[in-house]
Amino acid sequence: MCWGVPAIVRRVLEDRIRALVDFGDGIDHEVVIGISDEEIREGDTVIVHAGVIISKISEEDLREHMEYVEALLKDQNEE
Amino acid sequence: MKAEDLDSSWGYINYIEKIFRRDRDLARRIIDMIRSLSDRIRKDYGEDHRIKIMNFCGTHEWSIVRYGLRSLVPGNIELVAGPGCPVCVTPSYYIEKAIELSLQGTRVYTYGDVFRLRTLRPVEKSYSLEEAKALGADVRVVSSFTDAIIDASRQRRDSVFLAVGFETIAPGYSRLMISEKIPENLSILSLVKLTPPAMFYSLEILQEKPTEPPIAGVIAPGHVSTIVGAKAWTPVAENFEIPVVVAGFEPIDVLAAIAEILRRYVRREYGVYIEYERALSWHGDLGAQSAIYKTFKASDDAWRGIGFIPYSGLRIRREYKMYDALERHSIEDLKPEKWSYDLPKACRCAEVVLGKAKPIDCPLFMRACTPEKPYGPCMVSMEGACAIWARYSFQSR
Repeated sequence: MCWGVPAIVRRVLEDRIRALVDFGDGIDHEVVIGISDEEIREGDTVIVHAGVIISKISEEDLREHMEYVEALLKDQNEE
Repeated sequence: MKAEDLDSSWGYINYIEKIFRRDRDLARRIIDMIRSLSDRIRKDYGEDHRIKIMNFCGTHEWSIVRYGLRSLVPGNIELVAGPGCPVCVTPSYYIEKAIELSLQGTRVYTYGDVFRLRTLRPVEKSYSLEEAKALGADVRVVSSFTDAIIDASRQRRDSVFLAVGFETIAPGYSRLMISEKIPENLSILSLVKLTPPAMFYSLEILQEKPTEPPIAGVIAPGHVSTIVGAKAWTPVAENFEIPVVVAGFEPIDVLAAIAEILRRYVRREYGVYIEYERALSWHGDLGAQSAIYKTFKASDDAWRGIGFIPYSGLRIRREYKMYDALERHSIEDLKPEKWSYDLPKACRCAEVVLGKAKPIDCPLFMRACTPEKPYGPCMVSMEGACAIWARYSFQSR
């Protein structure tokens, strides 16, 4: 049960436990912030699993991921 | 990565899809690497040497089948599915108890796949919550616990949420309990399970048969690991001396994880490696882990078709017993001496979830057991191996 759906945070509710997110359908869905709430801001790209925010994605994370994939391939070519 | 790729709020999501789902050139490069490593394995270990790579998570199996990844992997490498579907391993007993509650007037909220999960024994002629609802029971399908909270807040009826899932879902329940956001008439029947103990158990069982190809590595669940951290898999990697790669769920993620496992296998290296760099860290989310620990305790738990696995389930702590449906409704927790094998006659789900058999090895597959009329638990959820194979075609290998 690892299904995760990317979404954009539209608003963090006052209690900082919940947020409204858009999955791309233009509708605000209420979800729980499952991870450390100080990290979540309006406009963030997050992964939501069954109504729980489980991860936030940043440009730096994406860059690191691409570097990992390229390093994996480069390492093989050098062997 | 170019700036224009990220020029809107949907930029990251579009970029992930463009690269990790649709980049054919990148896929080709990784497949070439996999083939070259497969040749190296033949050279080092002999032409007949076969290995298995186990994926633990139903969503990984979904990606493997949906994108036809098995057809891209050379014949000496077998991809096998593990027990990574919490619906498939939920014991019949708890579903029976939920049906009883629903027929007695309690409103039961659950996810769509649990709604269709069959019991071994009928409860007043109902073999599932779906059948109970047809008989007039108050069962509501929701897509999240927050939906249940919103609905329960609008009515006064005694209500129970059937909480099936892995560590990914737990911090949601924890944070809502701690912040007292759950209405008084709603309690949680916690059937949340922990994945590292189950991975350990599965690998031990698979290693009992030395005649089988060895497990060369494991693709570990990426979203569970956003919470528990990649570190959670260290005991598995060290005990079995295999590479464990925590991976994302797009086809490129899975191919990269296979390449990483093979790369480590030929070098005879083992450890935990993160492929899913964009979403998780080594330590995971410490705030989420702390919330889980504060509200839940680990207990021995039954996995349908598999058995009791020590400390593999989460039950609500006494400090939060006001939210515990077991406590509120005096439901006795399942004990090993009362647990039965829990699978219908001739069903081979137990072997499927342990990577010992493929769905097509089961005599019931697509005969008596189909996604429309599931007979065994692996055919119910979209993350069950049998349901995935049924929906997206299947191969003999």
